[in-house]
Amino acid sequence: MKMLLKYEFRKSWSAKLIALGLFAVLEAALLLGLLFDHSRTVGFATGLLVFAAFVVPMAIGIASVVILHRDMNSKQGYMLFMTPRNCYQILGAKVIENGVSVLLAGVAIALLGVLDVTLVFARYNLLDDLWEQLSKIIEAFTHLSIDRTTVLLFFFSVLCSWLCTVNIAYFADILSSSILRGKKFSGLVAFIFFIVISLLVSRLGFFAFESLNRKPVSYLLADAVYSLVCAVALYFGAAAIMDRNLNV
Amino acid sequence: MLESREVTMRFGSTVALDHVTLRLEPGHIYALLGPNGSGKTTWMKLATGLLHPTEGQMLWKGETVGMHSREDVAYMSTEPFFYPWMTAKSVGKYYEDFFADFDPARYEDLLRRMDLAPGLKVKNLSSGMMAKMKVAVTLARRAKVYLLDEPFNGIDLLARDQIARTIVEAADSDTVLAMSSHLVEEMEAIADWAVFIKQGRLVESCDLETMRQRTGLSMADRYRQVYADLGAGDKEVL
Amino acid sequence: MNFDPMLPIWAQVADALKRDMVSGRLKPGDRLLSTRELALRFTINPNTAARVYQELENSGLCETRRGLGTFVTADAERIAALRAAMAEELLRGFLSRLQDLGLTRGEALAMIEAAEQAQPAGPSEE
Repeated sequence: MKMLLKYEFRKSWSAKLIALGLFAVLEAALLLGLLFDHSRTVGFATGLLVFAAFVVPMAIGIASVVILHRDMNSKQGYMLFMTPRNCYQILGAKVIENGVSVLLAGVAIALLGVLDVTLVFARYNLLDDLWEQLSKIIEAFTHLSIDRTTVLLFFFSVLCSWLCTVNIAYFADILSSSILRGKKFSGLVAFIFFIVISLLVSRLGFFAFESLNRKPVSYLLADAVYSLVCAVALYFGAAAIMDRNLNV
Repeated sequence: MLESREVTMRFGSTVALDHVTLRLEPGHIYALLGPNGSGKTTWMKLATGLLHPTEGQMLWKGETVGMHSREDVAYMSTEPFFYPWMTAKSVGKYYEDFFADFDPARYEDLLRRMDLAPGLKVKNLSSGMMAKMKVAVTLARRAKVYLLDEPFNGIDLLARDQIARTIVEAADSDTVLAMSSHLVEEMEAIADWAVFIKQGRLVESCDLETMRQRTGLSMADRYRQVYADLGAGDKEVL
Repeated sequence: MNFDPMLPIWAQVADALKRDMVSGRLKPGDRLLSTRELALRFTINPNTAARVYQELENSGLCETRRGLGTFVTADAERIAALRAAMAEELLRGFLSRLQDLGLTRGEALAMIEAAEQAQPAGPSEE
């Protein structure tokens, strides 16, 4: 498993390098704007950074699916499938690599965000207002009082739902690849499958947990557990299809 | 012993292999013969576990081929398959990471013999260099089974001699070695068994020296006889 | 070595070794290459290499000593007999081909003598 992970990370590092480069450029722009009190630059850079904060983790996730697609539909796949490993291990390593990468990216971006917000507010002498503002905002949005359990549960829920999304994506791509055997539109078909399955999963969840909407904490927990269960089921399904219909 | 029992492989409506029962024993070098599409590559992929048979069984040492048999089976495909971002050296490292039977010293030696620098990037390899590197890294494994699909393809004459010698070196009484090639003459002296596959069926398998003694035919001659009715298609056998 | 793929390879390698023994390139009692070395030297299948020594041993031209290797027979008379047998076979073949050309035995012998006088060919210095 260790070796599979090593090479999954290697395969995706070029995408991450691009992401890193992008953030470096935007961050440099922000810092320069703050330094020279150029509010236009600050605004521009902040806007793009926020945009990147949402788009980049998704892009990293998509990059992983592209790598899976390549492994399943090109001769490069021999490198992976001729090793003494089974499909469960191979897919498992990909899911872990994706999860870890996105988690680390998310944490790094969040930290960067905190740093930048602090810098901006410090620059314009508004640090004292900062925490008060934040609490008000969060409270206003979720009708929750800030306590550690809720925040942790929130992040756990996000993690689980990301895992579920990843596995939907992998499942969709594997299904498409095994039906179309890498023919021209397999990428498009994979995307369609992804949308369809995502909708199904969320509809199912919606019906099941509608009643729990009133209680936020139990909603978060239920959502997390549901996502996790779907993720696991999709993982096993995907690996099974991969194993049965393998034809590099 | 590597064995297929009544193996049939279907891809949609195409039958790539039709009830093929074939046993490959250690201590022999097999030449798998047949024109393109006859099923040789499919058989090798089944033996590696890259495909599952539609019917029948593929066995290594009595057990169904799968994850564990790949520890003993070294497969080399016709097509290039290395990751483009790797170098010759890192390809070796990859094999070392995944295959316990990989011998890094032997790999280095083989690279040198074939005039390949360890720093060469995969994406910069010519087709000849790629072909040599595939053979080098596959034969650097001290595997129990070698399945080489077209090991002589795309390789110049002198390097072919080198590869033939390396194949002889890799084979011993515990090893099963099977290779397929259009260059039938290259295999005449190093193979001892010929397996003729035609349109997915095993039509003949014979001991080469016995065939030469009894009939005065070379492997190439017998090839021409076996596939005569398939038309003028196979111009690659000169 | 280029092999004729229509004839058993072991026989062709065995013939090459016999020629070496007869010409003195391999002396009586000399150690022969191991089967593996022989296979690599000629780029032939290891089983074919093993067959070569088996057949030579059956003809009494070499012997395998456990753990030590395979050796050319020390019996000089055996080699002499081999030389005679090989020479005779060559000769027979040669004469029959000359006859195919339509020469009589007498004419053939006369031609050989004439050729001998014009360009004496002694035993090879090798």
